[in-house]
Amino acid sequence: MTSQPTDQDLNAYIDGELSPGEGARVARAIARNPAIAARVACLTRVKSALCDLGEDLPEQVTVPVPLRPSRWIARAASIGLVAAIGILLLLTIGAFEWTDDAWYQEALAEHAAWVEDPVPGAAPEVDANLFLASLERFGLPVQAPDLTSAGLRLTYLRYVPPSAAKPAALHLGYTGRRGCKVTLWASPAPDGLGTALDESRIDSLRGFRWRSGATAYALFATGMAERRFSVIASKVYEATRGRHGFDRETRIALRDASAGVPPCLA
Amino acid sequence: MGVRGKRQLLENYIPRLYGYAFSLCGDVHDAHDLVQETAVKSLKSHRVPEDEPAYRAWLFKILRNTWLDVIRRRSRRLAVVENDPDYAEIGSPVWTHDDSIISALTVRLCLTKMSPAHREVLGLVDISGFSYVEAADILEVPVGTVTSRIARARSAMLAHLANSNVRQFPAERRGRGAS
Repeated sequence: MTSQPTDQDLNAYIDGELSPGEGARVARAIARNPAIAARVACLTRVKSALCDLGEDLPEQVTVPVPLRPSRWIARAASIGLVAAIGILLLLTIGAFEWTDDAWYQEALAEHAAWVEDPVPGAAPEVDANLFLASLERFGLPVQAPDLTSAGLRLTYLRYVPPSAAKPAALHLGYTGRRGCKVTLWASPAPDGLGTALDESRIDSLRGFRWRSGATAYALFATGMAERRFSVIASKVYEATRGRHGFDRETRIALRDASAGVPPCLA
Repeated sequence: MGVRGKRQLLENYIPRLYGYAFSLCGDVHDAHDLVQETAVKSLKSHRVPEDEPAYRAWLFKILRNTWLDVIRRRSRRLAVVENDPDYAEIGSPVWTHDDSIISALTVRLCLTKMSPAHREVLGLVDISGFSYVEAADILEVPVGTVTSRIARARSAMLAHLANSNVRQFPAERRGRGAS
């Protein structure tokens, strides 16, 4: 280091990156030269403001938990049944006399049962991207949207195995900060279900249903303002139809959907 | 290392990851997505460094590489900082402005105007708290490059602050009609 510290020296000094000897020389220069002292004070303030910025950033990031497969799924994967299941699911499309209304009633009943008796204890936080990847192993192209922008976390998932009367299905449960519950139900599409976003109301519970390719979706919400639910439904519909995630504008719209509406009721 | 161990280790770094991500993206939502994607990749990986300094560098490299993938998809190119237009080599320039314009608010606004390379080194050293050696490891550049780059980045920040018309109100305001 020359007798006059450079700007690099001054920056390294405030970052504690100089050796003791070099640091002492800079300290002497600061003590002797008011201009150098002012420069160091200025740089220190910039560093401090950036440190404060790091502490002030408001967004809360949730650490995802890798999907822990159910015992049934883990066993199936370990003995190579995944491909067979996928083929079976694909073959079941259209094989059931499973009407649109019956399918919708089934989905509604499952939502009501989950709301009535949610998984006890701390529900696992499930990462939707990992979940989607594992779903695709079963040959069922299900879009599991990330609704964190809408204040909803994916906290519940259940694979419903097929039976003689009905196909397999997937129940995704989202929970809001105040405890509202949203179900996205996905399964092979029943006969008669259209691709348009269709709204229904059964026993005062409002829901939506639609088909995207061979996959049917139903969406229900409990404890949520209707206007907010309408916004979420439209965005989820668009995402599943387009097989894409949410862009920035959509995330903002989902976040703002809760503004000016009554808070959710748990 | 089991899933629970990986998750616990990761949780310790979330705030610093987010600060670095924000310095790269300049947007809270994009930063959130970037950290989420980084977290997913780290949890899915089977080769996780056991040594904590190595783990930290590995984790932040994942985030950086994920960000580079994002901007490649957006067809942007990282500016080379040595020829960056918002840097001026001015030795030890004299700061003639009021220090009160340097605040978390004004710095945050100016950060979004800076070059990606400048934002990145400030994000690693000042926001996320890495040493020069650690930052050099993550950026895969010599330590000397970090030393010169941080000095230029802070000078550029001061230049942007001086040219900015944004001022933060003081925390306390005098009441009207005080006698």
